[in-house]
Amino acid sequence: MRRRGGIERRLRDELHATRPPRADEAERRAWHVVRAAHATRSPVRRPQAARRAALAALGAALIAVLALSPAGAKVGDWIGDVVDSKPDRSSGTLGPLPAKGRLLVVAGSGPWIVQDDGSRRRLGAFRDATWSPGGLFVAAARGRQLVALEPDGDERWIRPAPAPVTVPRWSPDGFRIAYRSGGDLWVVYGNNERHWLLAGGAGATPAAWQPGRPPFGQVLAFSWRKRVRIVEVDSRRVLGTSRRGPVPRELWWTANGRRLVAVSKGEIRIHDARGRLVDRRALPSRLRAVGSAIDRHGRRLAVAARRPGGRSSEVLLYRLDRDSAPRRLLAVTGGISGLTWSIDGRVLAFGLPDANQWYMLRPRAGVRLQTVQGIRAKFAGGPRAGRSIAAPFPRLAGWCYAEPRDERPFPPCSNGAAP
Amino acid sequence: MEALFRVHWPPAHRAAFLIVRDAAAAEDIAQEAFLAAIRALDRFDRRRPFGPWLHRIVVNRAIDWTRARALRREVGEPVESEAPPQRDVAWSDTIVAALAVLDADQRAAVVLRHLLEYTPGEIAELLEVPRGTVNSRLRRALDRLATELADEEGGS
Repeated sequence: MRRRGGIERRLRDELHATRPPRADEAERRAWHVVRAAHATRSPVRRPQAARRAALAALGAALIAVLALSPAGAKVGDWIGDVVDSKPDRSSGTLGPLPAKGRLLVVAGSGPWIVQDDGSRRRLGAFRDATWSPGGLFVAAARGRQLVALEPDGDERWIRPAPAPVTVPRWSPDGFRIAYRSGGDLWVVYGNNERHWLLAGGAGATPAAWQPGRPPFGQVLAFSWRKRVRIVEVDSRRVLGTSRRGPVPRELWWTANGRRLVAVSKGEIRIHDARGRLVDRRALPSRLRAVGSAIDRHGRRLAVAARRPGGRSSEVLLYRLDRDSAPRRLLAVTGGISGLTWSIDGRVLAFGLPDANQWYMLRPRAGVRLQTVQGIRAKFAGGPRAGRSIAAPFPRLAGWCYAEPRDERPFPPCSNGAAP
Repeated sequence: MEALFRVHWPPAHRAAFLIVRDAAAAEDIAQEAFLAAIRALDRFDRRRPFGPWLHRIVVNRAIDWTRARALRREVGEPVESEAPPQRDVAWSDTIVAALAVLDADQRAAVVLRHLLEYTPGEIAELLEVPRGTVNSRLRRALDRLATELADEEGGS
């Protein structure tokens, strides 16, 4: 007994003396988030009867999905948050974001930039958009035009194209932009001085610029006739072509530029920088990938996957540096759209169109940070605001630095899952 | 609000860290607990103290997180490697090592009792378990710690 008393005293002393690593920084970060959350707190509203019935049905469906999985226990405490999602018809503020930086959102009304304090600005009537690497500009598609915009919406330059422009992607050094026009893949200098056709018959998959290796900003991977092709763009020299395989939805390079990750509906293929297949990971049975995003280090790949019939979806996390099974982060009823990582790689955000929400979580801890509700109404601006009911759900298209950066090197702003 | 935060953040963060033994997760858990508390402020009975309410959220989330990690390990899913104690952790290596041998429920009971200074009856209310269970967890935890520390000292 005396021995236990001695242990108790020692425990008490040492537990009180404990300080977690970098406790001061953690406290500063937490206070920033807590203060912002408190400032934007709104009074609790009681759900109306009809809404309550709908929420109960949604809750039952969610619980059924979650109960089927071991991850159910883990996400069980999130159910309340999702089920309680009161459709918010207001067009008020989004509230602060749980990570620093600016979000690029592509809605039916056009692209928007959302600051980390939740304020937002519509850039105009464009259909698709992507960040420049340091967030100085946004490249956007408007019919048969590629337009470089400043973040306040001013048009910097316009490049006409032979057919409708889609999926622009800015190179990590900022000097080139790849974009699709019709079925062709084009490249234009970042200052619009020169442009050229890189390849015909390119797939709809957004092209991916190789980072981290010389020749910097000149090597592009793209989908081409059920293969993945890797090309040095200025010389048009083909560096490698993969064997035929499933058409990828998305292509991602790891941060060191040594691996190219091709995500198709049913599997993930990992190629080397010459297109040779080095690894493949199947998706769990009966799941089909509908979107993916890689973190800034190129080690973690988040995949949104849907079950047949589309009644439920999951977010899976793959470790690309380990040969291991994916970790399930979340299972939800309905679909998932617009997966993207925060610029610091700590937060993963995606849309839940059926709940009219964005969902933001910290994958490492499995902790939900925030849901933002009433998303459609919040991005229904512009001249088509009154006709936006059938518009696509506002998609998280990328996350960038809070302040534009132009000194190099720095990791480029993140792109979200393909449209 | 700031006064409330400054008073309650350090013990909440420290408690989460001692239970999960992972700095990033502890920060997330404590922060999420504060956010949850703020979201529910309108429903909170202000005549009651804030601390136990917050600690209940923190400790339960920390236990859930630790269990979820253990579950992933059992079913063969990847586990984030447990972060080794960092150099700037101002605590005894012996205590770090000794706490690691306890399970999450025992660590939570120890933290609530010896860091946050709750009585076994109060811990039972916070964790929604019988008081006898709390006593048993504390007793077993202390016995294990005593054995571990004795082994450490004997081996050094």
